[in-house]
Amino acid sequence: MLKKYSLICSVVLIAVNIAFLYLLVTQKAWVSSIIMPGLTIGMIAFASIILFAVLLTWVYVLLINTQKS
Amino acid sequence: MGNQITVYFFIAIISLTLLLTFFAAKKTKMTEDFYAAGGKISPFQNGLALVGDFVSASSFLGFTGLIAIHGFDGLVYPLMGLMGWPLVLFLVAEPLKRLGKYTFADAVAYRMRPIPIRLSASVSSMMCTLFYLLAQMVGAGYLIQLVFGIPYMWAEVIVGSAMIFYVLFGGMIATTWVQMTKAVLLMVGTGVLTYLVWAKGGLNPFALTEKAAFIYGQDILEPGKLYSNSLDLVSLGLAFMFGTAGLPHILMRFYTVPDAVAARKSALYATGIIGVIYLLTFFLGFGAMVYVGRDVIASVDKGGNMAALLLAQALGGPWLLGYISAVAFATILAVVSGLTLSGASTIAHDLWSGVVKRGKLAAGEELKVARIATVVMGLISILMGIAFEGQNVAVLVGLAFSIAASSNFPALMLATFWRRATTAGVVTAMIFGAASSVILIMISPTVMIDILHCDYCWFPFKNPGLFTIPATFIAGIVVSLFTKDSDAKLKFDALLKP
Repeated sequence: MLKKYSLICSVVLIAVNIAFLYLLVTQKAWVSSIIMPGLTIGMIAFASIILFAVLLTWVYVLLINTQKS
Repeated sequence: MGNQITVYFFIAIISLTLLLTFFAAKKTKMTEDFYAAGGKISPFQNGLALVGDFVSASSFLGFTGLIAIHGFDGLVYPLMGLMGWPLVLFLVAEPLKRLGKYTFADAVAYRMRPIPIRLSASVSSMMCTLFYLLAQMVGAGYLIQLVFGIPYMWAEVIVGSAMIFYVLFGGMIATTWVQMTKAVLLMVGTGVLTYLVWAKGGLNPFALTEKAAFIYGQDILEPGKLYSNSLDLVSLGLAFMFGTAGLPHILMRFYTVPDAVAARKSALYATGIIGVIYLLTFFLGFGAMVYVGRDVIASVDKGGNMAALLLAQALGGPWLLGYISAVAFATILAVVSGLTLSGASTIAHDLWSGVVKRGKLAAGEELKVARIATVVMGLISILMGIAFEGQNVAVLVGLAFSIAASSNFPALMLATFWRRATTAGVVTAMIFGAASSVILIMISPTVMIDILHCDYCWFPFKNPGLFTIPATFIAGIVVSLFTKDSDAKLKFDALLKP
């Protein structure tokens, strides 16, 4: 079970990271779209991915600790 | 930039770390204390120490500078730096703690034939550690010269001597405390600077980026200035991600906690703290761009490495400049100490104890060899640091991450996750990963165009991770399928089978 969670979380994280880096160059216009003055989609994506990575690690630790206990 | 207050902070940091080493030295009596702080570090302490070990001056000062000079494009680097940490948690922390003792080779070798594994792991680990250490030493020399006004050669001698002192007398305990101190100083420094940047814009973060776009044009908030090849960017991202999970000095920190649960928790703390610090570099970078100015930053240092310090001076005066300079210095000390300890343990534990003596050592012999190795590593890094003055060492960081990602990480994954993996397969993976990384970087634009000034290059990507990481896995799998290692299977069933 531990390995299953580990592999699923890793694949999700790697896919998100690769997709974001790839889109940065190939979809430059969309990434640069302005949501409000001083804020673009790219900036929201940057913050969201960092938060996603931290949340994923937190959820993973909760899952594993629950399983073990 | 040197001023009297900065020098006071510099002396305070040196005194504090020496005091920590004095207390740590009293507790460093056994080999386990030297390598792994006796396995008694708490998860939160280890999380802080991991932050101290990982967030180098090139991250804190370099990322802020990149954002200040290039805007949005600079954000990609902190993002890539963070993304390796969840992988450390998911794939590396627990098996490492369960199977190993002091070094990453312990975990790889536990079910394989130890001598070939330790030999090849030592080569890849030492390459990673030395390349990374040299890059840190050269960067440290420039930074200290610029910030404290100390000549380059003396800066190298001070940093090198301090790291030898910490590791030689205090081992992992002193290194951990130096790294924790640095992490706390860094968190406070980035927090205060971010608050001052926000306060200047009426506590509205978007007023800052709006102002930046108004002064420098909307394209400062758009990607595409630093990189234009999507595959090259993905390749760099993969090397950062998997490289973080394969850096020997990071991996050995997981032996300092009591058990696998603590290892997981410390990786979680480290991910959270690094995530917050990297999020804040966004505001520091744009703050420096707006309140200091790109031209001013570039006039002090073309690479923008002084952006955070100039911002501290602009918003907080000489005291904040002194504090942030001290943070930068503590950052250097923490990272080079971790690297020196990692190199010394590879020499003493993997090579001397594991290969030369085959585990048959006199009492205290390994600790003695580790201490000698510490001095040798320190002296080599001081001499190499001085010899490399004026050289472009950015390629060395790329090499260290590439080898960690393409050699150490695949070897660890094959050994801990795949029952069919054999000694020959894992050794092939490590050698192939390290060799292919070195060869492809040597013929990449980073070396052929930027350093050798050729008008062509044989390999079009700046980082080879996209090719070397999968190729290493394939090489390891193919060789494992064509060779037999029944012991490895039996030990896998006994220790690792779910």
